Amino acid sequence: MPSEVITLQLGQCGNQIGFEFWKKLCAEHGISSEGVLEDFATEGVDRKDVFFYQADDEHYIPRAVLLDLEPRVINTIMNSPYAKLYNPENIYLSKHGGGAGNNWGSGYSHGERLFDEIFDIIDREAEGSENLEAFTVCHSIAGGTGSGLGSYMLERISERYPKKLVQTYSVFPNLAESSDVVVQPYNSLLTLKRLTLNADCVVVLDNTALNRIATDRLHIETPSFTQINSLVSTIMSASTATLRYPSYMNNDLIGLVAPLIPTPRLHFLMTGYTPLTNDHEETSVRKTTVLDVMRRLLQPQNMMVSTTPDRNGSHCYTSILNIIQGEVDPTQIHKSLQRIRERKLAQFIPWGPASIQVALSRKSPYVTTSHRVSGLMLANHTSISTLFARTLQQFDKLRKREAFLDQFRKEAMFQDSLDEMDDSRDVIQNLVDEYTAATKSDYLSWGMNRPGSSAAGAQTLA
Amino acid sequence: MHATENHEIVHQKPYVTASNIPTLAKKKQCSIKNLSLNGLFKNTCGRYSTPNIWTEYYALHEILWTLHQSCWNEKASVKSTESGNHTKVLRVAGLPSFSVNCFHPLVKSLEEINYYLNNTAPQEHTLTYQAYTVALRGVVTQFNQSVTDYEKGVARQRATSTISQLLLRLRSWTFNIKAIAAMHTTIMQMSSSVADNNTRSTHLLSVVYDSAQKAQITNYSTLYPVLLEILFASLEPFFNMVDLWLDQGVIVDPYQEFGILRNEAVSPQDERFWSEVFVSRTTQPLISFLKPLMDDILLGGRSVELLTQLKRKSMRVNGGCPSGTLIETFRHRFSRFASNHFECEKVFHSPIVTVTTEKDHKQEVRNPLLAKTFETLRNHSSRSQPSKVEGVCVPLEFYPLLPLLERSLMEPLRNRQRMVCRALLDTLYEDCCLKLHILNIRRIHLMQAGDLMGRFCLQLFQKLETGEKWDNESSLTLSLLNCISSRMGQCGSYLSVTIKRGNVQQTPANLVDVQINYKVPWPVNLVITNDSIFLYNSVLRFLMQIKQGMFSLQHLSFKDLNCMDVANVNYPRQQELLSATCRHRLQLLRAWLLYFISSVDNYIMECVLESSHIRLDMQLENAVHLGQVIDSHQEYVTSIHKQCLQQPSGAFLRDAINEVLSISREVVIAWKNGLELEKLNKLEENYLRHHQFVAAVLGTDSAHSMLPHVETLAAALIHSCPATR
Repeated sequence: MPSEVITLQLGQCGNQIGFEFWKKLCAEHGISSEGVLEDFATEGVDRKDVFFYQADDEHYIPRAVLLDLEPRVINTIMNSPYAKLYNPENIYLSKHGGGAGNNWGSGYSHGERLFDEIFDIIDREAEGSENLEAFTVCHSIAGGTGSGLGSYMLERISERYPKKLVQTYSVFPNLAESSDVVVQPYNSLLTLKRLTLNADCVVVLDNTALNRIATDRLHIETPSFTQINSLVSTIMSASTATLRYPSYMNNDLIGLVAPLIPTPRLHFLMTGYTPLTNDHEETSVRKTTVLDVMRRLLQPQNMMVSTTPDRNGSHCYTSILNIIQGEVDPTQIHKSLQRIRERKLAQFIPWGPASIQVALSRKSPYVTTSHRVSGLMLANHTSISTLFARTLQQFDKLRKREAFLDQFRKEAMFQDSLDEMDDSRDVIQNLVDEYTAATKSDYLSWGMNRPGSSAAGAQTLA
Repeated sequence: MHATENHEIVHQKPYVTASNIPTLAKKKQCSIKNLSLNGLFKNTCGRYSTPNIWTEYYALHEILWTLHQSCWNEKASVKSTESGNHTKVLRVAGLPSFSVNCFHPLVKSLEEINYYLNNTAPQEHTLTYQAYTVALRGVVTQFNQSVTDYEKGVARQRATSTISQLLLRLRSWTFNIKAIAAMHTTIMQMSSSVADNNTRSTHLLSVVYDSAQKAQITNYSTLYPVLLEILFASLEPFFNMVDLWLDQGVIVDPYQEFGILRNEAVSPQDERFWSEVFVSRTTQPLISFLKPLMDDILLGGRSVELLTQLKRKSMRVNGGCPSGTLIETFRHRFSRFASNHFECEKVFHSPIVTVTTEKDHKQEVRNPLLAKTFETLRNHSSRSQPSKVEGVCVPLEFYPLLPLLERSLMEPLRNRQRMVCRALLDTLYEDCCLKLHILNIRRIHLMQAGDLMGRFCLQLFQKLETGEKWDNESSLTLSLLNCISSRMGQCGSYLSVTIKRGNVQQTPANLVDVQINYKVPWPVNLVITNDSIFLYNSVLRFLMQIKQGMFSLQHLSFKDLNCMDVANVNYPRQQELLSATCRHRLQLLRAWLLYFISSVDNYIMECVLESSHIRLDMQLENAVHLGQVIDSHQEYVTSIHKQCLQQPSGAFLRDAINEVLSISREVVIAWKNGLELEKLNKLEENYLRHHQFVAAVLGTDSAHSMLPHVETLAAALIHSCPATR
C-alpha cells in the first residue's frame, strides 16, 4: 500500500518540466514511452505505483494532470513519442486556447471559471489512489497560467485536501536578464503569497541559477529550455528517489519534508546536485566518495538558487536533507557528517537543531551513470529570502509607478482595488523578515516586539 | 670341517636340499608340528640322541624350519626342556655366537602373536581389532616369506650360508617382532579389562600410533614402516565408517566401537537438533592426530544427517562422490607426501646439485664449522634412504609423523566434510529459502521494508491516537498482511500478530504488547529459533515506539496547531502575542524532538541494523557449514538486541529515550488541544534534561565500548544540544 503522489503540471513551464520529469521517471523505471514495461525491466526493486498506476492492460499511466490555458506545449507533448503515456482524460486545455496572457489575474480567473472541470479530474485521480499522500505542483511563478492558475489551484487544494501534503516545484524567473513579461514582479509576488500560505513545501528552482550552472558547470554557452528542464527533472527525480526505491527509511514525502521545515512559513527549499553531467559533452569522471559529494553539495556554486552574497555572514542553514544515491556504506555517511561538523562546513541557525539529514537511495538499474555516488541537497537556508527581497524590490519599482496594472484591473479580483497586491507584498515582506529573524538566536521571540512580552516564559530550548 | 663331538657342527658341503627338510624331520621321528629348537637340542643333546654328525647346514635348516613353523603354530615355540633350562649353549667350535637365546625371544614373540591370531574367534573382535589382526598376520606372513626366501637361498647352495649370517639377517626381524609383541601385549592387557568396544578400539589405535611414533625415533628404518602399516590397517574400519557416514548418512557400527552416537532423544524438528543430534559414546580421548579432525567429521555427520532427514543425498546434490575411499586417498596422500619429501631431498642430493652444492660449499662456505655441519647433514641424509613397504613410502625420520598424518587425512576428510556441508547449505539456501526467511524477518521485524511496515505502523498509530479499538489480533494480522501484500505476499502464511498483555488482562493493550509471530518452517527453525524470534520482537517493539514518536511528530500539520491556553493573561494583545510565542515554542520543541528521535532512529536503522545486515550477509555468504550460519545468526540477533538497548546494560539509556518519546506524545496532544504555559515550560525542561543526559552518556568511552558506532549518535546529540545552541 504505497503513498501516492499526484503531479499537477500547470502552464507552459510546468508542463515542460513535467514532461522532462516523466521522461526521466520512465527511463529510471524501465517504462517505455507508451507506458509499457520494457523487457529488461525485471529487477522489481522499485515502487512504480507512487507516481504511476496501471491500466487494465497493465501499462503504466502517470498520476499526472496536465493543465494549460494555451495548447502549444501540451500539443508538443501529444505529438511526442510520449503521447500515449498520459491518461488523455487528465489533460485539460482551455477551450478558447488564448492562454492567460502572462497575467496572474487572468490565470487566477480562469481557475475560478474552470474549477469544476479541473477538480473533476483531480478528484477522480485522488479517489483512484489508494493512499494519496501529496500533490506536487510544477509551475512557474512569473507567467500567467503557472502563476495565476497555479495560485488558484494551491488555494483550492489546500482547502479541499487539508490532510494532504502540497509540494511545489516552482520555477523562479531569471532576474539576470530582462524579461519579455513585464508584469513578472506582480505575477511572482502574487504567486509567492500563495506559496507561502497554501503550500507545505516549495522547492525553488531559480532560472538565474540554473542558467549559471548550465553555463559554468556544464559549459553550455546558450542553454536551451530543454537543457535547463533536464536539470530540473534531475532534481525532481532525485528528490523523489527514496519514495520510488523503497528502503528501510525515508519512504514517504512527509518524512523527508517534516524535519526540513521547523516553522510553517520557512518552507522554501533550495537545491543542489552533484555531479552534474552534460549528455552532449564528455565529462571527466571524478572519484565520488560520500564525503566528496556531501562537501560539494555545500558549495554555493552548486546551489540552484541564486542568492545575494551575504556580506555579514549571518545567513545560515535551518536544516539540510542530503539524498545520496548509489552503493554507499552507511558508516561512510556518518564519517562524512562527522567531518562536516568538525570542519563547520555548514553554519546553522542558533535556535534549533543543526539538522543534517541523510537519506540513502538506490540508483535506477536501468540508467547508467559514470559516477558511483551522486547527491541531491534539499536545504532550508535563510539566504533564500534575498530572492524574495529582490522580487519585492522589483515589485516595488513597478508598483510605485503603478505600471502595467491595467490588465490586472480587468480581472475580477483587482477590479475594486489592488489590495490583494499590497497584501501579498506584506506577506512576502513578513516572510523576508522572518527569514532574517531566523538567523538570530532570539528568533523564538520574533513577533513579540512590544513591552510585556517577557511573560512568554523560560524559553529553555532557545 | 668335521664335528668331533656330538655337539660339534662340521662345516662341510651340504648334501641336503630344501625338499629334504620334511624327510629329515621324519627321519628324526619328530612330527613336523612338534619340531622345535628344543626338540632339536633334545634329540641332539638328550639321552635319546644319536651320535650323528651335525653339520651347520643341517642346523641351519632345522632353525629355518622351526622359524617357519613358528609363523603358523603357537605351540611350536620353545618350552621348558626336561632339565628346565632352555638356555643351553651349543658348544660348537668356531660358532661362539650361536646359542638358543639368540632365537628364543623371536620364537617366544612369535608364539605370543600366534597365540592371539589362532585363539581369538573373529566374532569376538571389533572391526578395528579384526583389521589389526589381519595386519598382524601380514607381518607374520612377511616374516615367514623372508625366512622361506632365505631358506631357498640356502637350499640352492650357491653360497655359503651360516647361522651367523641368519642371525644377522634376522636381527631386524627379531627386534620388530619383539616390539610388535610388546605392543600387542599392551593392547591385550587393556582389551581384557575394558568391556566398551569404543574404548578398546581407541586404545588399540592409540597404542599402535604411540608405538609408531616412538619407532620413528628409535628404529626408523625397520620397525617404523611395519608399525605404520599396522596403524593404517587398524584405522581402515574407522575410516570406512566415517566415509560411509559422510557419504550416505549411515553409521555402520555393528560392534559399537565408533565414538559418535545418534542421540535418539533429539528429533529432527527439535531446534537443538544441530548441536545435540550426535553425542560422544565415551569420554575416551582420541588418538592425537584424529583430535583436530573430529570436529570436521562431526560437522559432516550432522550435515549428512540433516540432508538425510530432508530426503536428500549429499553426493547426488553435489553431482558425484569423491574418487576413491577415504582410506585409499589417505594412503595415497601419505605416500605422495613422503615421496615428495624424498624427491625434494633427492633433488637436493642429486649428483649435479650435489656437485654444485659441494662446489659452492668449497667456494663459499669458508666457515669450517658451518662446512662441517653441512657435511654432517649430507651424510645423514644420504643414510636415510627411502624404503617402501606395502606402498607406504616412509619419509625421512626427522619429518614428524603427526603433521604428516594430519596432512594426509585432513584434505580428503575436509573435502568430504565441505562437500556435504556445502550440499546442506545449498539445500537450505535454495530449497528451504533460509536467506529469504531471514530477509522476511528483517523486513518485518526490523522494518527493513520501511514503506510496507511504515503503512502498517501508521494505521496502528492512527488508531492508537484516535482511541479506536486496535488490539484485535485478527484485524492486526489482516492489516499487516494487507500492508505487505504488494511485495511480500508470499510470506503471509508465516505471519500473525498477537497481543501479549502479560498477567494483567484488564489494562489496555499497548504497543509493547504487540508481537509479530513468524512461523518458521523446519529446518529453517534450526537457525531462526523461537528465542531469536523473541529477540526480534523485542527490537520490533522498541522500533515501533520510536517510529510512533517520529510519525506522530512528522504528521503534525501547522494548520492544526491549536491556540495556547493563555487565559490567565488579561490584555487581548498580550494574549495574542503570548499565544503566538507559545505556538512558536511548541513548533521549536517539535523540531528538537523530531531531531532527537530521528537521530536515534537513524542510528538504529543505519548504524545498527543496516551495518549488522551487511555483516550478516557477508557471514552467510562465507559460511561453510550450518553451524557457522547458526552462530552468525545468533550473534547477529544478540548484537542488534544489545545495540537497540534491549538488554539490562542499556536500560538507563532506553528509559531516557522512552522519556523523550513520552514528551513527544504530550506535544502531539498539546498541538491539537493546546496546553498551559507552565506545562510547556515543564516539557521543554524535561526534554532539555533528557537530551543532555543521553548526549552525555553516549559521549562516554563506556558507551562507545558497549555500543559500536554509537559515536555518530553521540556526535549528533552533542553537536546539537539545546543548551549550547
